[in-house]
Amino acid sequence: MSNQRLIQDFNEVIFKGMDLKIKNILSRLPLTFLLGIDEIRLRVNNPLMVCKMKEDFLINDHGEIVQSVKEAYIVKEKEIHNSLQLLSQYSLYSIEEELSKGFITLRGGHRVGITGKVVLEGGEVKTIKYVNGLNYRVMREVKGCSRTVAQIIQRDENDIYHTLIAGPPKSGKTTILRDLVRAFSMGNGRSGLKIGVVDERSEIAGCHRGIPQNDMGIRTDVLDCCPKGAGIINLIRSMSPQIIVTDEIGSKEDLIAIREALNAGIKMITTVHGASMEELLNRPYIAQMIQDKLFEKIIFLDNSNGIGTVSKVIEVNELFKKEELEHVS
Amino acid sequence: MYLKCIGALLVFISSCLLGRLQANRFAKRYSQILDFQGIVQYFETEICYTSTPIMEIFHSLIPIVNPPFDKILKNVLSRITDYGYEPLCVIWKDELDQNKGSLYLKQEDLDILLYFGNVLGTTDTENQKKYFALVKGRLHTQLTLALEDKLKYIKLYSQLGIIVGLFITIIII
Repeated sequence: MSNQRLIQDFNEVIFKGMDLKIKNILSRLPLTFLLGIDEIRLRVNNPLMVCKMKEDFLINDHGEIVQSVKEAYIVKEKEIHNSLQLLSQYSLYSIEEELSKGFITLRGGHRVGITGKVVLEGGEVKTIKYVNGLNYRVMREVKGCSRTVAQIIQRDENDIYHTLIAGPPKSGKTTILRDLVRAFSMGNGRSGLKIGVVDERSEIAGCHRGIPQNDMGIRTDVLDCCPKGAGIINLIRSMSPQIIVTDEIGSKEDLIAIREALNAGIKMITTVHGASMEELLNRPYIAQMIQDKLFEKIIFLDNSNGIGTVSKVIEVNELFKKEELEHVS
Repeated sequence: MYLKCIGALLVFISSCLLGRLQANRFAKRYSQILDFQGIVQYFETEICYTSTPIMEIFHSLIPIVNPPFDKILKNVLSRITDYGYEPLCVIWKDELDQNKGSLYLKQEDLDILLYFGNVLGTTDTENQKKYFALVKGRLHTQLTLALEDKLKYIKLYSQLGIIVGLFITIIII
């Protein structure tokens, strides 16, 4: 994402969804600092905070970085309330679904996380009221970041391996996944592949009113805010994709839908939280998927060398061969 | 004598017009409450059944509502679109104040309009429904009172204008 577009997004999207006072404070930050911000955090009766490269910075009411909480600008309840009104374009009722999920996706794929008093209905989150915190997460596309992973999962020109990308939070799973979708969809010298994306949390395509805000390539169909299980089945029936991509699998429904996709001859690329094989095997449905050899490759990411660093690649067939050998011996 | 007659005639016409103008205020109050009731109904349908965002509702309402509500809605829309950092209730109150001259409403009616601006879009659909029911109930009461006033005072003020006009004319002549 170019700096120019980011500046435009700050002015036209992110700041437009903020209380005037907070917006004025943040606009006084030096431009170079502002462009590097990953998160802006507003918490009721707590200091105004921005996060950049995993470091937190407190901001005072002159838009300066300060060290102590006492000097920092303290966010008021009214400012959070006003910000929410602006984020919903004065129509809180129109973002009920987003509130039940705990985040709003803005134009440009940026996202605002919401916390407050959760209202339950039938054991499910119905909405959030008395909002006490907002987290503005700045979206950045990192084009070309998936080159290494793409080489690992490419079987031949028109085919890929069923792949599970694993890693701890903030290891770059979704960023890599997004770039993989774009790369395979565009082809880039090879023939492009038809890709169906089931984007349950609007994280991959960053859809705003159903339209992907991120560059997803020319052969990509996106089902936004759709449960993965139902979405995979829908795509198989309606869009004849060659690859289906989802994020953060782990439920029984996901297992059933992935089996369905594999039976239909469709390749899967998906991600899961987990820093090691042990962690993955501790999750019953993921363990089941691995044992059933639904995936051919498991790629582990970490951020030891920047976001999206490949730390380990496991060939599932090899893994089981080894286990069998150990068992026999 | 000739001038006296012209003067008396002018006074008579003015008096009749004044009476008519005063009577019209009651008719206009009634029709403005009726118009606003229609606006509330429109908002309710769009919000409760299709979750249409406020700005889109404003856009579709402006061409179909009568003055002065078209102007009020247009000004509110332009302020939230162009500037967009003020709370809606503040903009709404401000625009009602600025257009008070063209509103023939009593303070009790204006209070309902203000309340509507305070709650519009601030809650989930379920609570918006409750607010709309409350606003519609209060508007209905005001509409009944406005109709009573209209029936009672339109005739009264029109006739009063004529009578006062005649009275002054007789004195002049």
